[in-house]
Amino acid sequence: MKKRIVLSAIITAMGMLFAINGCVSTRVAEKSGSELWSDNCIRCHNAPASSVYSPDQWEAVAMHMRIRVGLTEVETKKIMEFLKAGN
Amino acid sequence: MNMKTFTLLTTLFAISSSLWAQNTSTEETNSSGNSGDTKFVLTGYGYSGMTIEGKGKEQKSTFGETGFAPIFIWKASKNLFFEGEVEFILLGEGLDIELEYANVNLIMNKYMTLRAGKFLSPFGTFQEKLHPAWINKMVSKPLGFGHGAVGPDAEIGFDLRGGVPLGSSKMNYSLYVSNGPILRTGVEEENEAGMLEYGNIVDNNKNKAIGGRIGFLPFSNSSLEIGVSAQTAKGGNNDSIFFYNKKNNAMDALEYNNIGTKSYALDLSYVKSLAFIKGTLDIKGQLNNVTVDKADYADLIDSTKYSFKNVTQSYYVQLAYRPNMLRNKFFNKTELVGRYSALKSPEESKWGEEETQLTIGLNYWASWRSVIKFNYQITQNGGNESEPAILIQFVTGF
Ligand code: HEC
Repeated sequence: MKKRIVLSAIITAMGMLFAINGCVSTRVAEKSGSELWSDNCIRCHNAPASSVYSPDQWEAVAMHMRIRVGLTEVETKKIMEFLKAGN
Repeated sequence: MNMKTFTLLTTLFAISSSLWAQNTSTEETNSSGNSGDTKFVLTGYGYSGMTIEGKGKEQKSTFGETGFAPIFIWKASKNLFFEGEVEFILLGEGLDIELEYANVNLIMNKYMTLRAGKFLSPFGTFQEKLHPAWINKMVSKPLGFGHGAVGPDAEIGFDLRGGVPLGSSKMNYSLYVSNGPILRTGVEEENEAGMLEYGNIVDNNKNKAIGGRIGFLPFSNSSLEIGVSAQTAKGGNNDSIFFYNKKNNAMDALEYNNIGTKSYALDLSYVKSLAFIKGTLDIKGQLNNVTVDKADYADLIDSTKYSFKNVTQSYYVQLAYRPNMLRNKFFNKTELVGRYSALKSPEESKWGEEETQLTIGLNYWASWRSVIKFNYQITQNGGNESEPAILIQFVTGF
């Protein structure tokens, strides 16, 4: 009984998510650095602003996050360029 | 090491070295001016807090767990990276120093990174991606995700991982070989017979754990990630345990060399800034399930042996909302969080328990990674009365 409630709650939630996100179908690779930054860098922690690190430091951090999070190479490059340019 | 793992490892090496060779040669021709420069960042976090537990006369309060965790990250060249973290924690009787992780990473191509060393377990998302105090939105960790976790928290071995674009979706994966868990047989801690110990520096057998996770992000805005993880390993070794069995009035031997363990985890994350609620909605959850093959353990007090169905499960769901789009400079830094977690370990074991916990939290973010957390937490252990607690924590990343 409890399992069925949990299951239907999950299915309903998934349905709602697809409804909210259904209209977005841009290819990830076509997105800009700033868009990728705001999409991705809020998923686990608050997104850091570009002023937090120097361009050189961003290179190390971007590599760290690429490996830890499993970001694609293109995403990582674009986000890193966006953060480095803000300095 | 058995033949299967050996073949897996050598194949992995063969593929990786050839891919790396290809990759570096193409990069040498089009490398930019500063490639190869070492980039170093000293980062990390520190935290401290206070705990008030119990009700009425039984109430106790203490300035709580305090920790400091420096993290060293190096980008040594275009495709070589190192990360290392040491954690100093003041808890219980004294200072606990732990090498949380130390691993070398080699980016072999667009889709593959190979790393070796001690790393946070890619099994599920909590240990690897959400546990640091400045990321965890609650003071406590969910039941079964703290120390003595259900499922692995760290591995010593090799890990192949990467991110793969799939048009408007994407995925990421991790496949690791590690020392894996050690089965506690009750010789040292009688009450822990049948438990698994993770993050082992030296393995107790030639078998290696094989595990991995696949994460899938269906939407192009990366808001949703669903992950599935699995791990299989042998927990025991060839040592037999002898004990006096009253029933046969003779010495009895217990064997554990074939005792296998199978674990799986499901995880979910949905994070999105939504204009109509003027803020960010963050939903997270994970379910861990660990099954250890049935085995006999010695009860040294009764001089008998016993066995039980060895399945442990824990899960949590967490919902957070931060109105970060509000103009008000105070309220846009606040965050409301609710979390429910549950843990069930084998009833007939000496460590079996059934616990549930509800935590409500209010956070104030002084910066992107400095936070003050106020939690109210109710823990229910089996049929016992519920145990309330107030937890306060200050955390700052640097
Ligand atoms: C899947 C979760 C996740 C996502 C998504 C994520 N991070 Fe992180 N981030 C972490 C974790 C976990 C740490 C802490 C590492 C540790 O303590 O071991 C961290 C640490 C950091 C740090 C501190 C310095 C460091 O390297 O440890 C910075 C800066 C950072 N992240 C930036 C970013 C940026 C920029 C993005 C967007 C591309 C991002 N993060 C996306 C999980 C994530």
